[in-house]
Formats: sequence, structure tokens, C-alpha cells
Amino acid sequence: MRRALATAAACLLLAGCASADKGGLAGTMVAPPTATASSTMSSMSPGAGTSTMAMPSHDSNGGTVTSRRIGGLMAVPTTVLASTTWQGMRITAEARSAVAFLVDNGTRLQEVKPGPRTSFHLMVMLSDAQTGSPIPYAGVWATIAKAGKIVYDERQWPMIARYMGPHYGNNVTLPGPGTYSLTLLVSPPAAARHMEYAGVWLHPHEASFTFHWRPGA
Amino acid sequence: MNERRYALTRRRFIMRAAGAAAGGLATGVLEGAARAATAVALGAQPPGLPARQFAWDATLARDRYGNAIAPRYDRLLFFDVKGTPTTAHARQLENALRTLERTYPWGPSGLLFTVGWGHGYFTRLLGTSSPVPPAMALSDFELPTIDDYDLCLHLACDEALRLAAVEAALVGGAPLSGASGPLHLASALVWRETRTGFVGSGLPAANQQVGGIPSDRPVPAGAPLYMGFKSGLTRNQASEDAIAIGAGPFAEGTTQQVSYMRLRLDSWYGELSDRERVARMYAPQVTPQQAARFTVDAASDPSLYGQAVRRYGVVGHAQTSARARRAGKPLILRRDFDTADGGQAGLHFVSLQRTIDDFIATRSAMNASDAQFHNPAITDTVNNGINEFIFVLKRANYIIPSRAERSFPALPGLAAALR
Repeated sequence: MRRALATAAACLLLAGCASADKGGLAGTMVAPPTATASSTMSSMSPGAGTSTMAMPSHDSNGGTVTSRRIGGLMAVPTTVLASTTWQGMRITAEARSAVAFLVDNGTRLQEVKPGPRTSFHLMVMLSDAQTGSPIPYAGVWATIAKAGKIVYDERQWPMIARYMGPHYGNNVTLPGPGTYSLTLLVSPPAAARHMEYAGVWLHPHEASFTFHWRPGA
Repeated sequence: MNERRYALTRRRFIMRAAGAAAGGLATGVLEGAARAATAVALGAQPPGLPARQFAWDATLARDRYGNAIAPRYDRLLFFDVKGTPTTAHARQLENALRTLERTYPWGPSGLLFTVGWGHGYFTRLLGTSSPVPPAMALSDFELPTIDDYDLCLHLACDEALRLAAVEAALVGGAPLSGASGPLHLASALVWRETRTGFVGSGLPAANQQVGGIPSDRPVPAGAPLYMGFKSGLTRNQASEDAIAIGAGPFAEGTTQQVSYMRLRLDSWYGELSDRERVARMYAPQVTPQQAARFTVDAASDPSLYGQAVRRYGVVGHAQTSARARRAGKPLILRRDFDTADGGQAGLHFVSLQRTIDDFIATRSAMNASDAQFHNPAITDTVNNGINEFIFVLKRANYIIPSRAERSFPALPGLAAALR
């Protein structure tokens, strides 16, 4: 199986990571899943503050995502929506500022840009709960509903990014502020495995959460 | 069977329904009603009905290329058997089905229907082996609820209100215009769920203000299905002869697979070009101009699958599925239809095939899980047919017996009871 890591991900994250690098904030900007943390980050520039290694070690739910308009752009502090563990796999859902990214349409890379109404960039990280190593080659389908009505329902792109490594994401547009349910269907990684992963993640797994979306002016 | 006895039967039925509606019926009376069913004479069947319940095609209109035009409206009613099945149950159901057959001509201008029985009916209620396995998830990107209903009644015709009226009569005991005979199934079956839908030019466009479809009305006006493409072309369908079970207790029967899929067409319509949609529906070697000229076959050569994987990094749904053909013929006969159930775009995927294994083979081919090992631009749900646009919510398998065996098949004493 000649499947190099770099080519495996169908997406390459564009602008967000580069600015994070310059901001020097990596490793510090993951908000806990509470409403309070967002205010301390509201001055950051869009796309800043990428970090994945700072994933919470405990299961969480009910994160509050906020946004603030800065210079015509909608900034979303990187916020953990929820996280859980499945057979030693950490599943963490985060929101951050919507970004442009490239998708592989089979023959070339094609840019996907956030629209004016895009709420945030949803990222789902799958990683080994003990070592933190990202787990690629899996699949994530995210479904977001409000009061039982589905408002977002998409397979997430397998992606790579400088500070995150392999993850799964897409831009999300929500119809307005409120409480939403998030359901993630995680597909087993389609990859050769070292023996420590022989008996895990053999069937799809579903995890459901709640989060709050409070867009600013 | 004479008219006078029909009238008598109908009066009893109405009295029973009226009593039930009044809400004052004691349990003992209900049991008595069930017992009385054995004493009720079976209604007659119109002559000339096909032995196969699924023999619909001969009644269907054809387009100018000879493709069968599916009935425009469908309804799936799911039931459990009430209590322990007896020959009285069987007579109750058979009588209702015969009433339907006498009320409507067999065809889309009248009524078409099949009765299918689930795994649990045989194993749990009859304590025998089931001719169909329980359904299961068939890809790594689905986690469907596996329905455990005993019975699936698939109704179809060109008139939506007729299906609603038939359901009201069967499930609720409502009077049905033109019907003479018992219809209410409540003493034999417990209703569990109804799914509705439609297929045919214009209907998806008229019903596109639902979840899962962008609000700018992207569904083409003449499209028979939400995704905007034709389906059911003659050479893309198994024939009724090919799917008929040849011998044994279910001879002239077939197997039925029923899935409920959510459609999510925001990116289908919002992000893909015509060319990209055609590549994913058929094959990347097919152009929109060619697709528009398809007549009796969606020519999506499965032998070009390898080229699609390596050169195009995209595989098409028709192309991947066609790899499951046997001697060039598809294994399944699709009787699928779109739905707006729950305000959400969806697809009720009903397929008929000689064995459930034929369905599994077709679905596995459609998954094209092997493609990602040859080209990482393709995964189970990236650049892979229509896999990323359908989300399987529910699935079940049923056996559709012959018309003669359709009411409580394999029940001891059935043949004598229905004589």
C-alpha cells in the first residue's frame, strides 16, 4: 500500500496556519468548553491561535463558540466544542475562524473559500488518547441539528495542516445563534496498523454532543 | 362468493370499527373479533392477477425508449403481528388484500402492492428459520438502525391521495370509497411506521423546499429524482424473471431490501459543476452531453473503473455498481423513490433481488472501498460516486412470497385456512 501521509489527506489548509505561526500563540489558544474563555481571546486575528496538542485530556461537552468581527472578517477563537474517547481514540471537535482550503478533486487542487455567511471552520481531530498521535485514513461525517432540524450534514474533508497534522474538517454555516446538537460518525481508519491497534476501531462509531453558537456583531 | 355475504362481512366490519372508535371495547371482545375472523368467508380475487406479487412491470407505461415508468407515488407501511399469529390473523390480512384487489385494478392507475415478511416473523414468532438474513450495515460510513418489523407493505400508484386513503382504511378502519369488503387490519397487525414518497418527472422539483436541498431551487424541473438524473433505465435494472425465486416454499417470490437514506445535496448542487455531477453519478469518462442522450442504459463502462481511479481520481456511482453485474446483467431491481418525510430530502431505497447476497454484492461494489488503495484522492466518501451524498438511516430485509403465500407465510395450517 503506497500511500504517503502527505498525499493521503485530500485537503491542505491554507491561510490560517501561516498566520498562527507568526502570531506565536501556538499551543495556548484552545479554549475550554465553557463560555468564559472566549472573551480573553477576542482580540486575536482571524486564523490565529492554532493548536492541537493542547487537546483536553478529559471528555467534554457543551462548548460555546463565539465570534467577533474584526476589520471586516469574522474571527472565531479556537474553541473545543466537545471531546470523547472511543477505544483509546480521542475524538475532539473544535471550531475556529473559517478559512480557505484546497480540496483534491481527483486531478487538481481546487480552492474552497468561506462564504460571507460561513460561521466557522469545524475541525475534528482523531488521535491516540495516550500519545496524542493523530490518526489519519479514517472518515468523519458531521451532522448538526437545531431543535431536531438538520442544518448541516457533511462528510468532513480529510485534511492536513502545519500545526494540526491530519484531521477532518470543513467550513460550517449555521442559521443563527443557539444551542445545536453535533453528531459525528467516525469511520474506521483504512490503513495498515501496528499490532497495538489490532482490535480497535473496526466498525463505525457515533458520538453526539451539544454546543452553543453565539456569533458577535 | 356472493354479494350478500360480502355485504354481511362489511357490516360486521363497520360495526367492529365503530365499536373500536367508540373506545369502549373490552379486551375479550377484541379477542372474540379475532376469533370471528375465521368464520368470515374469504373474499374472492379478480381473475388474472400474476402469481408474483412484484409483477408490476407489465402494467407500467413506457417512455419512448421502452423504459418502464414507475408509479408516481409510493407508501411503505410497517407492521408487527398482533400477539401470536394464528390462521385467523392470516384470514384477516388476506381478506383485506383481496378487498384491495377487487377495489382497484392491478397497475399504477389502480394499485400495486407487495407484502414482505421480516426475519423476526420467522424466527421469533414461528420459531423457524428465516429465508432472509437480518439486515446489517454495509459500509464503514453508515450506522443504520436495523428495523425489526414483521411486515412491510409497499403500496404504489399514480394517485397520492389513493395511497393515503388505503392506509387510513387498513390502519385506522376508515371507510374506503368503492371498497366492498374488510380492510381494517387492527385485529391481526399492529401498525408501526409509515414512509411516503414519489418518483417521476416534476415531482422532486415540486417538493424541493425541504432540508438537504439548497434553497435556490436547484432541482431540474423535469428530473424524476432529487439528484437530477434519470434512474430505472431498462438495462440498468434486473428483470422480474431474473429476480424470481425458482423453487421451494418461496417460489415466484423474491427478496426485498428497504433502506431509508437522508439526502444531503447542498454541495451536490452548490459546489459541483454539471460535469462533476455526471462524473460522480455515472463515470468520469462520461460527459454531460452523453448523459443527456442516455436512452436504455447509463453506459458507465465498469471495465474503465481502473482508469477512472488512476487517471481521473474520481469514480462514478453507475460505474462502480455495474461491477456487480452477472453476465452483464444487474442483480437488483430498484423500486426506489424520493421522500420529503419529516421535511427532509431522502430516498426510500427499495430493491428486489433473488437473494439478499445479490444486494450486498451490489452495495459493496458501489462502496468502491478498494479505490483508496490505488489513489489516495479517493476515499470511501471523497470523489467516490454518490456515497458522500446519501446517509443510510434505516435498513431491513424482507421476503416477498408468491401472491398465494403472502399472508402469514409458513404458518402451520395456512393452506387450509385460506382455502
